[in-house]
Amino acid sequence: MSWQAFWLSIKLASVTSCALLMIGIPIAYWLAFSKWKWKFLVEAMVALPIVLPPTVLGFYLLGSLGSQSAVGRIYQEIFGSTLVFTFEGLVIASILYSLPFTVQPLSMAFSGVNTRLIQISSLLGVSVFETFRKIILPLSYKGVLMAFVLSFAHTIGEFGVVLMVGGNIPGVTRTISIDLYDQVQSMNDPGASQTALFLLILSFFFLSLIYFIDRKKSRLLPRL
Amino acid sequence: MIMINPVFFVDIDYRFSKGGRLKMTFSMPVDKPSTTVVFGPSGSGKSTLLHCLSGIERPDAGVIRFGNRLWFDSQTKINQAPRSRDLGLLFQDYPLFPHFTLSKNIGYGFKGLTKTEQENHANPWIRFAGLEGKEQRYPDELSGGERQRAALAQLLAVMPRLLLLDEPFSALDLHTRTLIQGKLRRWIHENKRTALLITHDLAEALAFGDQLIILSEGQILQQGRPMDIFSRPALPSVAKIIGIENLLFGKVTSSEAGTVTLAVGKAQLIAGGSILPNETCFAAFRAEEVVLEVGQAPQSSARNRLSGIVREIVPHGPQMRVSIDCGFLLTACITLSSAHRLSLKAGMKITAVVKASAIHVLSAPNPNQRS
Repeated sequence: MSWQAFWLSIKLASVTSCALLMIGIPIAYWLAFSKWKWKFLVEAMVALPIVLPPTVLGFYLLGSLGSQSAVGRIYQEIFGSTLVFTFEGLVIASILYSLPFTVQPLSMAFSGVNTRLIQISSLLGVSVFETFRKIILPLSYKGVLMAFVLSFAHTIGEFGVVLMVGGNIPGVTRTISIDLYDQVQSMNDPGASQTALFLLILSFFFLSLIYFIDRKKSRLLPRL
Repeated sequence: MIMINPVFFVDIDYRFSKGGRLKMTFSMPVDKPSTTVVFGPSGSGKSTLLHCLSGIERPDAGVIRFGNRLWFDSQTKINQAPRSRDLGLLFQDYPLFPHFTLSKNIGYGFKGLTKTEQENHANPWIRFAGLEGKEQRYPDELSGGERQRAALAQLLAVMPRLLLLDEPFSALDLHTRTLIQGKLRRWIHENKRTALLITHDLAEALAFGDQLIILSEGQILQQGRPMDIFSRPALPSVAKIIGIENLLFGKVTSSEAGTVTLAVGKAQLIAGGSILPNETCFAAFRAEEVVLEVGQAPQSSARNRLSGIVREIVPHGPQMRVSIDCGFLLTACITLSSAHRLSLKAGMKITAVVKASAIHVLSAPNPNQRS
């Protein structure tokens, strides 16, 4: 098993999950509390990566981030390298690919907060932002944890999009899931079975963590 | 700022999603301390009224204006958010923030202060609520009554101009209730606040309200001073809601010089008032107004003496509710000691005595309608 690939995956998942929390919280807040009648369309858009074949997402990403695109060219001007086939390109791809895995748990957690408490905060004259910070967010901490762990696990497991947008460059874009694919292709069975088993145990660990957080009677932090 | 409009004016029309409608108009003065009590059976729309006034619910049409501040106007599409309305609302289930201590809960409305400053501001209110020593407790470590007092203190702490209280003493025992009621009345008076209070408790309504509103099925049936409504309910439904136990259907047989004679069943009642003869009516009088006598009585000023048989005696707190069959059923309310003195027993003969002035005659709009 390639430790280089493993650490690359961890790095990708960490950066992606952190970025997704920052991007996902405002989106989830809007979805939880907006009463716009076309909200369901936004919900569908956010959920697309769950059902879309990764190759479709990969195709569109290549098109919009590649060296022929406006974004790709600007990036090249500023940073001197292409966006595709780089770690940075992978981060963008992963953020889009794992978006629903952050937004959905967050949105459920926010809308699960007792509406009365939000109303009381408003009645006492506290601003929308402060109400979110002091009341909604603390009472949704489980959802925040879930969102992080889910998108982390999901990013580790990415394959199709990573291959298309990343290009399988060792140390740069060869994540552990790509590495396993290579091992199978080159008939490296001992290596492949080691990597596969490792990934299996890792995934099981993540899922156990997710269901542990989700237990009905669990109080990870006192008073919340 | 000089108040051009020293009035809290409310005119709302709210349609419930499952049918049913709340439509009412009333006003209260805001330039002096004033309390209005809203009284009515469950489902009459009392809580919804408070929610509409606070901005948590939106009426379908109407105007809500507090002094010079226009909070809601359906015509000009003004609808101020709850945080912009200078008010406090105590919900029927008095929720508190579960992840804050009592001290933090009560000090929550204070902004821009350090932790110590917040605690200092909260302390007088903790004393107001009688919760000294419990500052570091969390809501799930407090009893229902303690939480209700805490929720009240939480909203009073920010000194709102208008108080909307949904059964604010429901979880308190008698002693604590009297204490907190007194403190609240003093606070309203000292700070010249306006308060609207929902209650099921007759005594509370009488003691607290400058004005009483009787609400039923989304409509105001009567409003005015509590004593006026109690002594002169305008409708049979009002009488029922405020708990006038004796509501007898009858017909006016004669009317002269301020007294009315009614035929109720086989008996005759004399009441104060004036309604035309042959009109169907209700005779309404409270159980407390019925005096019970055993055996022959000397001359009495009371005009109504009805013979009957005691059917049932039910203890009711410190008193006894006695049902008497005089051809129709009468309810009397007497003290325990009086019941003992008369050796009251079911099946014994008794005379029910009621003064004419205690009987209020209400016209029955439709002979077939009974409330």
